[in-house]
Order: sequence, then structure tokens, then C-alpha cells
Amino acid sequence: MANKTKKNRLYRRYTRGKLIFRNIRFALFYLILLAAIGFGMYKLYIYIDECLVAYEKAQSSYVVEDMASMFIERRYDEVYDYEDASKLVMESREDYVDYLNKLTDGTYIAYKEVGTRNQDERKFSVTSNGKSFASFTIKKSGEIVDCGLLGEVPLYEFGSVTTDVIQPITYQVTIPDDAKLYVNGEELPRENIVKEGIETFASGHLPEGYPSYTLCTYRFTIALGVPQIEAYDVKGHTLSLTETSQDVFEHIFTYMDEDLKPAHEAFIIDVGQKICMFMTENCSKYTVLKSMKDGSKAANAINETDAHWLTEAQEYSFRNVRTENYVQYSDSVFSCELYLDFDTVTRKVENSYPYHIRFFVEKVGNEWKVYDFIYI
Amino acid sequence: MAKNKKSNAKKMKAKAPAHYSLEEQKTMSRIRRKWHFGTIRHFFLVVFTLILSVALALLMLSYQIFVGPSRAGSDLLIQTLMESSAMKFYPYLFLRDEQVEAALERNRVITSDEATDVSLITIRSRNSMTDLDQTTEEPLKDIEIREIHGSTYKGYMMIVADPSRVSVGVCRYPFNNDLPGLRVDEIINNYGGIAGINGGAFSDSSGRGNGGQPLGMVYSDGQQLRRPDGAYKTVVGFDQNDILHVGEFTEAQAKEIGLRDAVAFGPALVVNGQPSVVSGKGSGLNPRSAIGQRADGAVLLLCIDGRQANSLGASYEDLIEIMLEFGAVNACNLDGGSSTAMFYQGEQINDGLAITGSRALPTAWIVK
Repeated sequence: MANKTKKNRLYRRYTRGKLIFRNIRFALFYLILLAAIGFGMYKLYIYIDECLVAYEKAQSSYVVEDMASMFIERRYDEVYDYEDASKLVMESREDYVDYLNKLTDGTYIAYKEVGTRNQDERKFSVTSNGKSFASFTIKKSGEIVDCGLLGEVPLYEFGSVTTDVIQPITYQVTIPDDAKLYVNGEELPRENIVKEGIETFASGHLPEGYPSYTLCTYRFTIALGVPQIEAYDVKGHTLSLTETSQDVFEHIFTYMDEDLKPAHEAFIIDVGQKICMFMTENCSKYTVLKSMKDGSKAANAINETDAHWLTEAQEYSFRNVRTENYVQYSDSVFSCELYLDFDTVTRKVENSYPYHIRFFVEKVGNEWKVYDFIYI
Repeated sequence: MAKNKKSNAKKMKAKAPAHYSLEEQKTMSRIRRKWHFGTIRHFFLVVFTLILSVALALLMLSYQIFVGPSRAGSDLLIQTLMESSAMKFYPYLFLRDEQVEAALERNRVITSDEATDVSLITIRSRNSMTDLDQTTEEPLKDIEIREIHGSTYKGYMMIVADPSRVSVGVCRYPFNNDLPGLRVDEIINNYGGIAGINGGAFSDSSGRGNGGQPLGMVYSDGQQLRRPDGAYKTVVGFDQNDILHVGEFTEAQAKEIGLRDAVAFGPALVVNGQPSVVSGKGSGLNPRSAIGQRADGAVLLLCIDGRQANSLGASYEDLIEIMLEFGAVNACNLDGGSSTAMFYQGEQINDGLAITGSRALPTAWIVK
């Protein structure tokens, strides 16, 4: 009986109605499954999209592009804010911007990454027509963005800027005390003088009452490029500057050979030769003193020469006579140098004596007289 | 036929209760068949739908990543797939050739062409191996394995204090294209080693190479076993003084350096203490192996798991970061992907990809 009921139940399970009902039930289930799959895919799409957006936003390349754009678009006033401004001693922000604008005018600006062992920052070199002129860094800000399945990405921020062209160089210029120095068209104030009253070969040899000829040294620092340095004397004449070593310039004297030589060479040669001949008793002291100012150092030196170091020459002549390095201290005082070889024959012995004398000459009345002379 | 009909009728008679007519019994039987057939049909429909959904989801995700809001994400996926042996075709289903090429160009490693500066490495004397480790300041061990973790990877760094113990083992010599290579543990055993990782490049067309033929220059035990070829120019190897050299060497340069053990792959990750410049990420996320050397001469053998749920993989940028963290002065990338394997005392340390075990390879770095 029980078996019969069981068989009955089993057999009645597979009825047409139940089949239809099962199909409808499955259809509903299938629709729900499709809906669930669709919803799941939609949520997955949203999640992945959010991950991708976060990942993209966190990319350091945007920070790099922002920093690089300051150079590419020549926004150098913004670049200045990241620069170490302490390097600019004499220049201002405007000078910095102007300088970079001139430097990169019409050039193609690009950038590329350079390796650095510091893993917390990335370094880039900026080039202008292929030549590096600046670099910048971006650094990790400390924040980390979770980009889901793409992992965690550290955020970067602006780091620093170093402009290669800003190279502070200290210059030193030595010029006469009364001269003026101009740097890049602007007069340098006397506060930049680090040393003054520097004596020259003229010190102590100029006639009394005349201002001593001394020098002073200016020191200044320029960071942007090579400065234009100009010096002018009291009369506004340009003083030529000579670079004696790196970044050190000087103008000691203004040699005016062209102007003074024609007028005074004959006199100087005459005095020089007389002095030579005086030493060999071929010229009297009186003759020599006629060319010298009374009471001057030159006259005193001749007067005090009481021992002749050479005996009288039977024959004498002069060779290689020339004058040069004429320096005018005022309208009535100048100096110059005389070179000559004094050849003598004394007791049939031939001798040659090279002379190099520096004369300091003063106008006394209408005549030029030697005030002082130095054997060099 | 008549026999069957009779037996069916008998069965129906036997199964059906006696009060159902034959007609009713036939109908019920048909319905039952339909019921069972429907069950099977529904089952397969659901399975097919699920498979199709997964495939569609995969396509949708791929499209979203390749063409979606993140160029960096797209580049990462492109690089990851292009570095694999078998999936290089996939990006081309969604992108044009020039787009894929542009992505590869944006993400690469720009290596230095400096020669290795041997003065940067001072091999610690064999007697002083009990000194302190320069990174942890703990007593230096002969071989140490450390677990490392990153946001997309996990892996292991094996530090071998004595570089003279590290050499290249090969599956056989001369190499034979027709014979398969050996697994890393097999190569280690053949050389009597106790540890090792996979080595350099080998012929692996579409990911189905048998691992029998290496590519690029190979040196083992002071002998050149294979000449350089055009494909893999970057060579990494030890000279007779146990200093690791990394770079593109000609045969003559390799002889001049005096290489004793070397393989080819690349790119160079760290050269003379300076990391290579990475454009973008430098690469995709994949299983990786790398070798490096610290200033005290200790050798760094790195193995990163990838293509797994708990470790997607590492990029070249990650490798450089890891190597620098461990103090590498010179380091180079080795073969990765399914070749990545690290063994120590007969056990595989990393979680390899293949169910059948690590891959057959022609070369491996072994530690004796």
C-alpha cells in the first residue's frame, strides 16, 4: 500500500501543469539571474571606472606636465617662486624673468627625466634648443591613493626648480679712485668698494700739491649671465678694463702715448741721454739739472750723486731708444718710460749699458721739467 | 523494434500504477522525459549564460581599461600583455597598431651606457662574513631570504653574502633546440647547489618554447657557451673577481672584462649606483626576477610573483625601487613571467604559475 502511494506520488510528479509551472519558474529565475548579472556588471563597471579615474588622477605625469608647462609657456615669474632667490644678490625678480625670456626667446623648450637615487623625488632637466638651462623636481607628498585593484599610488607634488643659468659669480674691478663703475648700465654705488687708496708706481713721485694717484677695488656678484662692466674717468672718458684673472678686471693707468709722445718724446730722450752721459762724466751736472725742476726729487738725486760709477767714455752712442707708457695725471703732470742702450768705449773697452727709466715730468711755467725719475 | 516496444510497455506497466490507462501512461512518460530534458537544458543555459557573462565582463573591462578614462591604466595593461608570451595579440583587438606602439614608447626604461665601475664594489673578505648586514645591521648570514610586499606584488629577496657562490647553471651543453630544458631545481641539483632562481632569455615562440635553447650571450664557469645575438644585448654577469657587470657587451668586451658567469636579458635597472630612468611605469605588471649586487659584494636575487589574485606583479619601476632599498649598486632584470622561480634547499619559495611546477629553462642562477 505504502509502495503504491509512493509510486503514485512519483508518477504524479511529472504532470503537464507542473512542467509548465516549472518552465515559468525557471524563466523567472533566469530573468532574475540576468538582472543580477547585469547589475553586477554595472557595479563592476562603476568600480573599475572609479579605480581608473583615481589611478589616472594620481599619475605623477600631470604634476610633471604642470611644472614643465611653466618653462614651455615661459611663465618665468612662476618659476621664480620655486627658485632659490637667495642666489640673486643684485638682480630682482624682473631681471630674472627678463633674463630667462631673452635666453629662451625663439628656442624650443623640452624636458626629460634624469635618474636620481632619491626614490622620493623625480628629477627633470629642461633644455632650450637641446641645451640644458634648468632642472626641476617633483616629490612624494606623503599621501597615498588607493586605486583598488591597481594598487596604491603615491601622490606627487611640486618640488624645486634650479636654473642652471643662475650662477652667482663675484667680480672684482680695480679702477682709479676718482673713476666711476657701471654694471649693466647702472652706476655701482661706492658701498661696493672693498678696498681704496691702493698705491701705484706714481705714489710718492708726483709733485707736491697734486692729488696722489690711487686706486680702489669694487666687488659685486652677478648671477644672471655675463655682466657688462664699464668704467669712466672724471672727464667721462671710457677706461679700458683688462681681465687679469678670471672675473678680475683692472684699469691702472690710461696710457696716452699717441697724444703725449709726439710732444714730449724728444725732451725725454734728451734728459735720459744726459743722465747717462752724466754718469760717465760726458755731461756736466749743470747741464742735467737744467732739465730738472729746482728742488725736485730729481734735482736732489743728481746733486747727491757725487761719485761717478763710470770713468769718462772716449766714445759713446745710444741704441734702441724708445719711450712709451705715457700717463697724464693732470694737464701739467705726466709720466713715461724711457728705454735705451748706452754703448761706451772706455780705454778701448767696449761696454753697453741698458737703461729703463721712468720719468715724472711737470710743467713749470712754459717749460717741462723732470720732477722725479726712477731706474727700473 | 517490436522487442523494445514490448519491453517499454512492460516497464511502463511495471512502473505505472495499475489504474492509469496506457494512454495516460504514455503521456506521463513523455512529460517526464520533457522534464528531465528541460532540467539538463536549464542547467546548460545557466552555465552558458554565466560563461558568456564572464566573457562579456572581461571584454567590457578590457575595453574600459584600453579605451577608458585612464591612459596610464591602458598603458599598464598594454605593457603587461605585450610582455607575456601568449597574450601579445590581445591589445590589438581593441586598439590600432600605432596606439599600441605609442603606449610602448611612453613606457620604457632608458638605460645608462656607462661601464660598470668596479671600484664601487668591495668584496667583503671571506673571513669577515660574520660582520653586520649593511641594511639591517644584524649579523650577516650566508644566505638570507626576505619576504617583500608592494601594493600590487609580493615576492622574495635572497641575499647571498659571498658572490663567489653564485654562478650560472645550464640544462645541458651543447644546447639543443629539440630537447627541453630543465626546471630550476633540476639545474640546481645537477650543479650541487642549494638555491637559485631562473636565468636569462631563451627561445620561446608564442610561449610554447621547450626551454632548450638560450638566447643572447651565456657564460658558465668561465667559458662562453653562447655568442651574443641581436635580440638580447644586455648582459649581466660576474667577472673573475666576483663583481657583477651590467651592460651591452660585445664578445671582445666580455673577454676583456673576464666574465665567468653571465646571461642575457635586461634592461639594466641600476648601474654604478644610479637607477635607470623610467619613462611612465617602464613596463607592465608581471612576475619578475632580477639580480643585483651591493657595495659589499653581496648578491641580491629577487623573485616577484604575479598574475595571481594576491600578487598582480611588479613593474620595472618597482624593481628599481626594491633594488635600491636593498642597497644595490648594479642590478639587472632577468627573465620573468612563467619562468619566474626561486628555490632554496629543494623547495620552491615563490608561488609559481604552472600547476605542473616551474618551467623548463636552459639557464639558471645557482647558489652553491
